[in-house]
Amino acid sequence: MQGLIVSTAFHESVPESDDSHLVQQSLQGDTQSFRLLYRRHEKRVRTILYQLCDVSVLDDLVQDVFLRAWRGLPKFRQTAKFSTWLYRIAWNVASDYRQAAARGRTQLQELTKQAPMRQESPDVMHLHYQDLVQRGLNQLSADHRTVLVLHDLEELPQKDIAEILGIPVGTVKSRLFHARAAVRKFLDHEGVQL
Amino acid sequence: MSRFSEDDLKLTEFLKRHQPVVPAANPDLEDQLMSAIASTPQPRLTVISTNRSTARVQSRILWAVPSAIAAGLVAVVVSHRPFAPVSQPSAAEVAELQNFIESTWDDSIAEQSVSEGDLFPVTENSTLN
Repeated sequence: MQGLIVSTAFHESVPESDDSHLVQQSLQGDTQSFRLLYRRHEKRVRTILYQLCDVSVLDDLVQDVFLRAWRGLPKFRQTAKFSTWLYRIAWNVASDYRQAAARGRTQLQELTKQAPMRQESPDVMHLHYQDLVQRGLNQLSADHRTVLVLHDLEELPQKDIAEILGIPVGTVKSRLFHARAAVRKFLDHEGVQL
Repeated sequence: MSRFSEDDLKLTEFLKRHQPVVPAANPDLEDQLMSAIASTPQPRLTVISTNRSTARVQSRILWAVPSAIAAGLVAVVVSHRPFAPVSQPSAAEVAELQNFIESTWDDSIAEQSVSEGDLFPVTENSTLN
């Protein structure tokens, strides 16, 4: 067990570019290497899914993403970035979920389920701003929200976002522009002076 | 830096500072995932190399099909004229055509003689000495 912990710490400290080594090991059936890939990317995958789906199914969707990745590894082109490929799977899982959810739920129920989470923080203003940001993001379309989250919150390059979503870089720029404008307008309307 | 960029920076910083906290994963999630993976058929690296060569062959076949269709279409269009059966005129049509050519020819000769005679009347005085 200790060996695993040491090995994990080593792998998690190596640069992201070394994903390819873990991918190679995973392709040879090394599940521990895939576990390390999971630990490296779980947080970002979770953030993407959280912004697009219900909290109640977050764990299930994260698991679905990594299972799809595991099964799809033989089809993964080694020349591409693993992270980009993985986030694209996350985007697809989120899209599938949203389509299924849209068919089976009313918008009112969805809004109720997506009520902002309470954080254990004494700072009331911070809580208020968090609530505003959540509402500001929720009022965006899924396309605009995704681009804003990936670019401004997750700090992914526009080129990578274009690859993940399968759209031109120009479209990413355009969506980012409109998403920022909409959020800025919302915050301004709520009395937030930036 | 433009005012627009400054605005974007301020907005981005605000969003980052106050972005919603993603709820933590179930502590058992990782183990559940690994259990699910253990029961899922493992990907094989050797399959990739086989798949790559197979994919190349399939790719060639996929390219060959539209190419063959295009080439066939071009061949049909090109060969349409040369290989089309030439319609043979009937004897009556040949005779009619011959009469037309002869009459046209005679008329043109006659007209040419008249017009040249009008322009350059032939007289005894007109001959050059």
